Amino acid sequence: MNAIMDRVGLTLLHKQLENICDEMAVSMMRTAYSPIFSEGLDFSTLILDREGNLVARAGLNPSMLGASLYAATWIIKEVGAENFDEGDVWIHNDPYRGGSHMPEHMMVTPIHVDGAIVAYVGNIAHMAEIGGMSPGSFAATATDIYQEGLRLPPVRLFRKGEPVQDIWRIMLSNHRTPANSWGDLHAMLGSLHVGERRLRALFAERGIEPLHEAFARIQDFAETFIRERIAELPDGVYYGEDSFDDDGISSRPYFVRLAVIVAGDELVFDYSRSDEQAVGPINAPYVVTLSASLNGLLYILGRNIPVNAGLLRAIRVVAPAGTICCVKLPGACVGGQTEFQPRIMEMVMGTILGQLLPERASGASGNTSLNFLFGGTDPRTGDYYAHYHFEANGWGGRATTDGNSAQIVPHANCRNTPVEIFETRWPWIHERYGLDDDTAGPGEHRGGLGIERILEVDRGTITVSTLADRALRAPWGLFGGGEGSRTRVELQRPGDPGFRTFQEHFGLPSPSKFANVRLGPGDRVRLISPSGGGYGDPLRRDPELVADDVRERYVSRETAETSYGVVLSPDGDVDADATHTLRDALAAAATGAA
Amino acid sequence: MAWIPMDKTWHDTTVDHCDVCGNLLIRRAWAFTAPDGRELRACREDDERLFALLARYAPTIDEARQRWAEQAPVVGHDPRP
Repeated sequence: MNAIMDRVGLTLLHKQLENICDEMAVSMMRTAYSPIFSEGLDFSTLILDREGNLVARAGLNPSMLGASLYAATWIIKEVGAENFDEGDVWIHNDPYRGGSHMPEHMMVTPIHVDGAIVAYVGNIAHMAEIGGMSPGSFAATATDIYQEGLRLPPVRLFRKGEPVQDIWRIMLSNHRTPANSWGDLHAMLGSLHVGERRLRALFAERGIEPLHEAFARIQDFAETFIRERIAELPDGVYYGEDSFDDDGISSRPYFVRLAVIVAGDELVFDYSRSDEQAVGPINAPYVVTLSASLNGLLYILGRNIPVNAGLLRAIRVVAPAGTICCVKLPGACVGGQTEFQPRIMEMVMGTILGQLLPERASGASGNTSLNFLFGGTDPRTGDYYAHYHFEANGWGGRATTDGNSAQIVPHANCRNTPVEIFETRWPWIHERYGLDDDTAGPGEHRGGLGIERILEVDRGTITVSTLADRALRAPWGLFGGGEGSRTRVELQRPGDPGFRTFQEHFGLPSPSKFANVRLGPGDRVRLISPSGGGYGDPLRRDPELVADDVRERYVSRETAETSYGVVLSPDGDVDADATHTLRDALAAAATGAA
Repeated sequence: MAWIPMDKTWHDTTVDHCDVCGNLLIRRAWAFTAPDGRELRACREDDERLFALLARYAPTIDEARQRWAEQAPVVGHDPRP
């Protein structure tokens, strides 16, 4: 066997490819203009074989997995590989061609050796502003995709190494912050150049045909490994449901219904019974539902499995067009990636796989990206600015540990926008940014805490929008764990006695989704993100851990007693006898109630 | 059953989905006839088998859905409005 082809050699090669992707990612992070790139890390980098199949990626943002598997592959098929010349860079952002939502732009370039394509490198990145009806291009009240920004079909951004100026001019003319777009697009281009250079060196070192064979084997391994893991699961049908508060347009909830079929070494995610697609932008394109399904499964079963196109041979996702799980043109869908995907992913991890592998499941996280968008003209500079911010929330408790506090939704892996960036780039002043104490879903392993952020408009007029969820239906607990807390998006205007929700201020249909509210100096916004659900019966939580939580102010004394049955002495120590008595009483009351 | 071409003119902006799984159809489709006589277009040859599998499991899924509606789900949250 060729040295490159044994299992160890393939593992090393795959790591080498992932390292190339990582280097592409670092290049993008360090050269981008927008904080969504440089701070948020909302992008992915890809290596594809000569047929356009994903071989390796940098896993910075798992939510882009579905798009990583299809966004480049489909345009190579649509356009035809014969139309990819050396030096070409193709771009598109079309959710109806394998993209997740329109802000995410995908670039791909072929690598030619001796006149033939040997591979492709690509990347996907969330542009902070692409036009449309709301600054930040995340319109929570959009009812079709044409309101969500500039939609690009596959077009060449560079042709044979030369910029296609017509395309650049169209894009930059439709983005509210063209200077940022210019910088971010060049960060993406630089990342492609890094990948191309490294991959060319690899082909020169290893040879073209051996590498092609190795790329195929790496995909075979992914298929083999995931089939082995699936085969260990009992055959059967596993069913679950979850819902969205609303779609931003009306106040009706929308339900996702998932049946997982395990049949031998194959697994099918069947979303056929889900609600019809929503009017508002919470719908998912097919690849988002695919991402959510794969990510949920891989978090539970995927340890050490290469993530590439080989997975798709063993796993099928059925999401009929026209449902909320597979939006049909011209449906709006910008929120599918940020709200729908974590909801499904955690449904897979909790309600579905929790039935099979409870020791690997977790309660729900806050499960909303709590997208907060804003834009305006800064009176100090006269420049237009816009930003897309997502908020951290609490994660669900697990079988072995509490949920993390103040983290971005698990499907995205991104980072939030630092306070310092907020205050130096845009006319906001922070009054508070901290954990939202005493809100975690109680459990033997409690949920993590969400956050509370209070911002005040410092100058000028700022147009704000939010697209969030979990304001009505709290993150669920698992195996007796309690619910987490809910999202709140609130406003206090000068002279108001306190905060009220935007819904209360303006009579909106949704408590968490609105677009284009204009704020002025002195207006204060409060964002409260949800905490995670608990795992297991809170009466089984180690009383000393509860005492620690009270000392850290994660949990109040009152909650320690009412939820955990833990009584503390005045100096904070556990009163063992009183705790024993209270827990017996709470358990008896729960049994009686049941 | 056969692959059929789905080439479009450059100004055609319509989008086609697989009748079995919902995935997009790009340039071609696997055409087959369902047992009920419907003509279906799929994204993979294997979708004929997937279609049959879904039909075979449909009663089991409907039973599971009914159980979900009737019983408290394992997660302990109320899935209904």
